Amino acid sequence: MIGKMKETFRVMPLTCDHCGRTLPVMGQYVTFQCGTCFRYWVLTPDGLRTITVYRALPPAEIEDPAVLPFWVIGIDCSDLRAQTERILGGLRETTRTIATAEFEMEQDRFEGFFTADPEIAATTKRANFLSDASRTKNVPPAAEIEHLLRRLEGDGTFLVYVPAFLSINTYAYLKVGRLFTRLQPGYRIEKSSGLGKPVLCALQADEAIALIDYIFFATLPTSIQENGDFLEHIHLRPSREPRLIEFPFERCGSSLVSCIGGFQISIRLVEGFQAPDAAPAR
Amino acid sequence: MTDGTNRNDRAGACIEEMQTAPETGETGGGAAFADPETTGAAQGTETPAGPVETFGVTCPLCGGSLRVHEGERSIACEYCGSGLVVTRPHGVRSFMVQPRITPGKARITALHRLAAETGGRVKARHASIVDIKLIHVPFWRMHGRLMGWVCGDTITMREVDIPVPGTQSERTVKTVREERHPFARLVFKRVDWSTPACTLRALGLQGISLKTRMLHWDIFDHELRSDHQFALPMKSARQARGDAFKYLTRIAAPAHSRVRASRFHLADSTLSLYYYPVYFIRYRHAGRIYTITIDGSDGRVVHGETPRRRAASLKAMFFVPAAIAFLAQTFLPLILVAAGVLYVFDAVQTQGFLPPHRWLAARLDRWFGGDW
Repeated sequence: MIGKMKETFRVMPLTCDHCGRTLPVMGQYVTFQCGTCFRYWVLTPDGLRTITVYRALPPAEIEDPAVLPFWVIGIDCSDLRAQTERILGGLRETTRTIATAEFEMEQDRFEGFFTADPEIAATTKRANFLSDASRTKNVPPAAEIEHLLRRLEGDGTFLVYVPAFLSINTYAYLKVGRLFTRLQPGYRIEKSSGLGKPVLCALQADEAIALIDYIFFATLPTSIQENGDFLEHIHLRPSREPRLIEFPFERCGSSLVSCIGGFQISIRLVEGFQAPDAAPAR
Repeated sequence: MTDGTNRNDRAGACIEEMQTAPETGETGGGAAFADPETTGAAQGTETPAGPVETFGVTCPLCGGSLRVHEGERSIACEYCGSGLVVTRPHGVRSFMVQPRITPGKARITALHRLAAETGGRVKARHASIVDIKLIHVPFWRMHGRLMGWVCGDTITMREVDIPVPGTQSERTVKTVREERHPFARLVFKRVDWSTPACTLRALGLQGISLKTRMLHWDIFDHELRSDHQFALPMKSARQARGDAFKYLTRIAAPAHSRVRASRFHLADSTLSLYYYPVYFIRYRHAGRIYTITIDGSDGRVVHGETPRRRAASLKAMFFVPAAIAFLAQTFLPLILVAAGVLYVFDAVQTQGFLPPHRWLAARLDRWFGGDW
């Protein structure tokens, strides 16, 4: 076992594969911008890969907004809808089967019991039994499911927003991601070009994809979140490559107010955006 | 014997969930992509100051030796100034910390502990140190971010009054009823877990997560095995990873709950092996061997066995004679009857009577041999 405990990490020169210039050292961030050709590079498990960075345009002009990067991942809605309907169908069928079988099995015992004690209404007892049996497999409330399916029915695009900024608080990813994903805001984007402020992205794309299920779950009502039989089979599948988009936020005291969506988050959840022109010094 | 295990070490061992974010109630408000140990003090949170975990690499351009802090993705070479990308290491990294306590200091600490625990009854002249061994004990440590979802039912037992069945009166009886309430929890937190990688009696340490933040750890050099004593890890990396995942997901659910479904993902996780120096001191007192374990880094006693004075027990003073009297009353007549029967049997066999004391000597001689 000891023989296997060998360190196999790699160190590679941080250079732009396009023009050969050394890229700026970014510490804990995974995105780099070449100072010569202005290309963006992102660190992947296989090394550096070029990437297009987008910037969401604020609806109104804002002076020096703080920009926070997000991985925006499109979800295959038809697949998700099919999953939902299949799981619901299965749950209803299972519940019906169990309820019927158990009711038939217990019927004789009930009849004898009712005869012995006529004060107990047989109909009430049966209703209670059926109610208990229906809980053997939890079926989410129909209204909530209808609402969920309607959300997915739109124009076929459902976007999950995974925060990619650096945060000392891991829960911030869930919190901010949930706010954005629940809103599904509309906005215009443009490609980031030219040498501007560096993109402070601290999350790799594959890591972001691993989080989409949980962020999506967080947007669901509590009654569905509590339904393990239903939710444990739901798996979101990205319909296309994740996009790295920077969203503008306006500083407002100790909060950051999103220019798109209008929600606000605590400034403490985000680290390092105040000094975007320098990598965190060690 | 007493178990002088240091409770602080036991408590701070298995998992350390750092800060609680006031807004979110998150336990483990750790760094998402960099540990607080590497990022230093963060806004609104406190992280332990001191040395941080680093690992060494060599610059591919100039060959300079570099130290990379945990969580850093890119660094600048201190010698040639070139930028370097650090890809995440695969496999298991091993670290060790050099002992800061000498064997002599450990011996003195053990004797002080012995005197303190026994109230001065056992001092240095009453106990002889049999041996002092410095052993580097391996610990598995896994840290990273745990993300997941868990749902189920929290179970509470409630005492309720129910009417007495079969009666028309208002009499009630108390009964305990199980109540279930559904719950769902989304877990996004930083986790830090450690456990001993070997089984050592009288080790006393259950984990070293906190120590990994406070101490300066060096890369473990396998060539040191010839100079130092290292305990071999008995638990494989796969087992350790499985144990960690099982433990972390179990504590994600609320207490007294039944989990119906869950899904978890460990991101940015690192499994490392840490060798921690511990002195095992064995001493003899009143013909018995006892063990005291001293932390090789800070000199604290993490486990200690001390001789305990045997106090006269009133129960023993009563029950032991009573038991002897009972047995004597029950079995002595039976023995006498058996001896009498045997005496008569021998007399009939030999057709002559011997005095009882001579018969007894002859009988014992036949059974056991020797001169009676």
